[in-house]
Amino acid sequence: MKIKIKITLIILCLQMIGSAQIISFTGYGRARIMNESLKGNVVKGDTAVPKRGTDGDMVFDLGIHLQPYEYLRGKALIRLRNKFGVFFGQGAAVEFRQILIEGLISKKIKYALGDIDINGTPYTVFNNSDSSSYEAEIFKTRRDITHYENFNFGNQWRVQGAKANATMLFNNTNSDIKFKTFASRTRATNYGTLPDRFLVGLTADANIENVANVGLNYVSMFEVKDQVDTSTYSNNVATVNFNYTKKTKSIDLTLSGEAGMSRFSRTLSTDSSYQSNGSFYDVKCAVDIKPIFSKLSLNYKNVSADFLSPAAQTLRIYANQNNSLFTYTQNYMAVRDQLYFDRLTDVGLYNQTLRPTLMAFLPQYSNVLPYGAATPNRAGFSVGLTAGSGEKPFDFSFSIDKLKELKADTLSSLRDFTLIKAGATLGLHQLFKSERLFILSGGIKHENTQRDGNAKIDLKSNQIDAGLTLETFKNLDVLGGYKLVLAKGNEYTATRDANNAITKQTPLTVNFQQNLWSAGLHYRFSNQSFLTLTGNWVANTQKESESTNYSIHQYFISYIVNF
Amino acid sequence: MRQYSLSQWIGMLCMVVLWQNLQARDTLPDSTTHFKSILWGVPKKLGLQTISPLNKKLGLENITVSGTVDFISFYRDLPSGYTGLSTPKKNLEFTPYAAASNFNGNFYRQPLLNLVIGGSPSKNTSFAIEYAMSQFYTGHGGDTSRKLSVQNMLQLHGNVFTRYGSFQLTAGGGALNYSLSPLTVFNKDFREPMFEKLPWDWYSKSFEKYTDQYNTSSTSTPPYITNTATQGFILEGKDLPNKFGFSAFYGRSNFSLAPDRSNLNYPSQLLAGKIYRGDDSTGKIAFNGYDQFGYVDNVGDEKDLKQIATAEFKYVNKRMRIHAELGAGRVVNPSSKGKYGEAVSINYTLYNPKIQLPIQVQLYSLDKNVAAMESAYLNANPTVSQGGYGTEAKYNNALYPSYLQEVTMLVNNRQGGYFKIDKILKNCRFELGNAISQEKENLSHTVSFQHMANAFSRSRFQPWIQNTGPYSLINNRYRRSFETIAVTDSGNYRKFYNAADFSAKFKTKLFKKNLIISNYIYCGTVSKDFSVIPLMNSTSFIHTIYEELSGYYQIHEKLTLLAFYSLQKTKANEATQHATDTQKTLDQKGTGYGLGLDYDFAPNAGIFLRHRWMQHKDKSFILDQFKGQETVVELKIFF
Repeated sequence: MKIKIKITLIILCLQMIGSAQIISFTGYGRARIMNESLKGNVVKGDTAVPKRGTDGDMVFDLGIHLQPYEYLRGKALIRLRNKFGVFFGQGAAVEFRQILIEGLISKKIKYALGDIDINGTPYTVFNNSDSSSYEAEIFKTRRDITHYENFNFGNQWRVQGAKANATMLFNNTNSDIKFKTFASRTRATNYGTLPDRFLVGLTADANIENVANVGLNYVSMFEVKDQVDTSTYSNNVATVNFNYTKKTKSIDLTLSGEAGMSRFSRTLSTDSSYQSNGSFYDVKCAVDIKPIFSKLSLNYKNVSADFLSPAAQTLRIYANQNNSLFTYTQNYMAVRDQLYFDRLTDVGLYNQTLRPTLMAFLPQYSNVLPYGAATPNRAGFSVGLTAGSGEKPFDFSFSIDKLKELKADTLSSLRDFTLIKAGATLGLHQLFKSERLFILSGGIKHENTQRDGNAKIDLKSNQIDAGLTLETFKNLDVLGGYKLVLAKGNEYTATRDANNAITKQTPLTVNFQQNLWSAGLHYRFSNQSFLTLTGNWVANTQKESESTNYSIHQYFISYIVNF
Repeated sequence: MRQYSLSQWIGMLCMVVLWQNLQARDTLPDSTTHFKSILWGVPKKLGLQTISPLNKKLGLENITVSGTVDFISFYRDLPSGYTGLSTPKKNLEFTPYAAASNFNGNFYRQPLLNLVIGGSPSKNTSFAIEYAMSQFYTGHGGDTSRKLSVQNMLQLHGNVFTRYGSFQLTAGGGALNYSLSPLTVFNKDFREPMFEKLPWDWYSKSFEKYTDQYNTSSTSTPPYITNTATQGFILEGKDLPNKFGFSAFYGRSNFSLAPDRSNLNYPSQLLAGKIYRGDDSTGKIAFNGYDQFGYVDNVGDEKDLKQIATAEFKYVNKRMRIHAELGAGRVVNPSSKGKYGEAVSINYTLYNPKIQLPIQVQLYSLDKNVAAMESAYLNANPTVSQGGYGTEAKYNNALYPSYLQEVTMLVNNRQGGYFKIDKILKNCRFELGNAISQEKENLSHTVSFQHMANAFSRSRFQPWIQNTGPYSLINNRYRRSFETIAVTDSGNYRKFYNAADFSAKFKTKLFKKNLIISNYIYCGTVSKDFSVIPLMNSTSFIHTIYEELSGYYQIHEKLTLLAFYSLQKTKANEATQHATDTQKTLDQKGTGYGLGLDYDFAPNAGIFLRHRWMQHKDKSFILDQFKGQETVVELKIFF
């Protein structure tokens, strides 16, 4: 049946060519091959697990845009995929990646149906980034693939449903109110034990003379009551956000913030129910000193332990998903832990579904704000300083977050968190007024988690980035990148139940160093088509368990055409 | 409740701060005045903003669409049955090969509808993709009856034109056509009877195919033959300074790795390339490299390598054509230690315009360690397998042990040569060829030969499977079938292979309509002793003769009638294996008769009908016999 639909759609769309209706095409084509090997103590004497591999695929996503009227447009994104090395149809698959209908109602309301992208504020609907600001360009080329495969376009979530927006104008002023709404089904019923689950949202954002904004946001995730004879769930989030900017010739002063509440409710078939309420506020004051291209900000936030906002707290990466690459070690007796390199490149680690409760996370990579700004049970200040801009040869940023838990978990007293981030980009080509790119970048992220008491915690982690982009011949860049991940100490990872309550705390002890070196070439045939060849060398050193040390070498080649 | 109050309080506080901030200014800019009026005054009019029409242009507006409709059905009635037959005795199929033995329809090279879509997103980039849609007419409502897939086209291109030369990148899958040189990456050139309808036939006027085949000299190689199917990246540079150019490939060929191993990400890659200078007419020198490298599996350290390096020279003028390739190769795997062996191939064609008698001479010496399965020669090295080292024998479609080859076919572990003469008279064309070769090493106590009679039909009895048939001697491959028998003589002979063929083609008019008659005779022997020509007697381990007569009569501009007859007789001597039941050696006869019709019912569309009566009988291996009929109908439309 699926194939019938696909074929019919393709033929119908193609039949439109040459007719009065407008049809246009977008596309994303990619060919890639990875050749990798696993070496080190962890596989010494191992006669069972794979230690080498060659993988790859060729894909082409053809987006067919059909516009029969000025106010209606349809899009179908159909993927052809060919597993590398399998010929004549055996390794080929055709997938439907997106169907989207967009239109206007009475020329006033814009709507979209199908596979839609939604976003809101960091506390309502927000797909938190998994990358650092100063990540080397060579890593971005890999991350772009991972993001594309998982529909991670900016901070949007890809969901299935409908959305609409309209703008109400106040005549004779520069003010308006923008309304946005969406509704999506995030899980379909299995007709027995699981009810349908929906996510709906409404935003009204008032722009006052381009000076201030005030927004009201409401997002609800809920299951259909009484659809099946089990539990039902709902979680409602309501927030207000604002932004006011006072501009002068030399200084822009901005005051912004968001505050809101959440209500979680779960009703069981036994007529018992569970409810929890949470709230937050987040206020920020920023001063933009124009003459020196610098911005100073001060932020205070307070997010209660029970604040739950699934569309803002769902993680992109599963913590407990096995790596696709070299999944097992030690004669299949051990599962290989996720390295930073895996989280950068492994499409299969990524989550595309909004989760009703908090997902597990890996503290060694992010423990201070694992769920982004909306991370619950955090209160404290952050101070930030940025200097320079993309148009200048140099830009720099520094921030420090000093946060504390508001509520102790089941084990002990409150955790204290420190997060320090700093980074800089140096555009030497701008400095020397050269047309050929020469960019150096570097960044650091330091996290420190401390807790006293019976279950003491002392976890420190550092991530250091360094990157190089050097355009040698026209459009041919030499790329280099380095990432160091260090983590040492102990933490507890939480297991949560359907009520989002912690049911188990598992001790975690880490003491490792990950080094990722990458070097390669990047040739730009056009702005959106490029060939990339990279070599990647990953070393994972477990400082207290040398027998589990290993390294991964991977050579990667890809050609991407995007239009 | 306390938390609700707090957050609400904060919200209110923010609003108050905003308001106080505004009030604190003595002189407010105009915009702030408006701000005040909106907050505390009533706007004169409210309304929804009119949204301009949706952007019309997204991406490309122009793409090209082309393709084929190719309906194929064959019905086979084999009342005698045949051991290993993968279908019932009476069988109707809607694919060129029976779906049951066709990997559930996955391996299917002629889809019912093939849509090829191409476009150029920018002046430097382009793409070509394909939607191959098959219908198996299984009667099931689900997807099992249909398949949407990619066969050949999933290609991305990038071009760069500089003053130093032009460069083209081709990346993708499906099947990228790639060719380097006959001893490295090329293709096999098996003979196809004119009567057979070929999947790659592109003729919109059917009779042109037969005219072309009449006109085509056996001393030239058709372009479609010179490519092998690959996936990966091809980078080519042309018009570089001093007439230099290069071509490089990285990826896999369809011989590199079996599908199940590819799905397990076995380490296997093919890196091949050439650097050349000059062109064919002024003298072209090229250096070719071929490196199929990997490991036996993804766990251990045992390598599976095939490496070849050659130097190549080409020169063409009105009187002659020279193509020489010299080099060395090696095979490294658990059964082969990596010893280098020579690769020598010299092809010389002399053409005298006065007597118009092209003579082609080929000499070659190929060590068993020169073993690229993508090349023009056949592989006789048993340690080298299609799909990687250790592929199960029944799926190894690329091993030709002690094979009695066609005249122009080269085989590794051989040294020898052939000559071909091609003479065109007014209305007829004669081609004569003779090949002699000797094994360099006795690698196998077997001899094998091709069933030329009913080759395509036989290959469909149990497609792609080796060591099948009633005595497990039959090897079926794409469009052809082979048989391998054991040599019982324990002597360590370096066997001699003789093959000769003669082709006579006549073109005339009958009742003012075009008529082409073609006759082809092939005979071949495998023996202990040297001979200049095939000796068709019992001194040879095996001797075979094949006769093929066919006629093509264009009774109307759009209608061609075809007739076909073929006969193959093969005998083995006492030094070969004996049938257990009769205690006699192989003695078989295969015949095929056929009628056909080509009807071009539209400028780009035709219906093609072939019917064949076929029979095979071995007097010694008495279970090796069949008798039956086969009808093939094809509807092909180009658009």
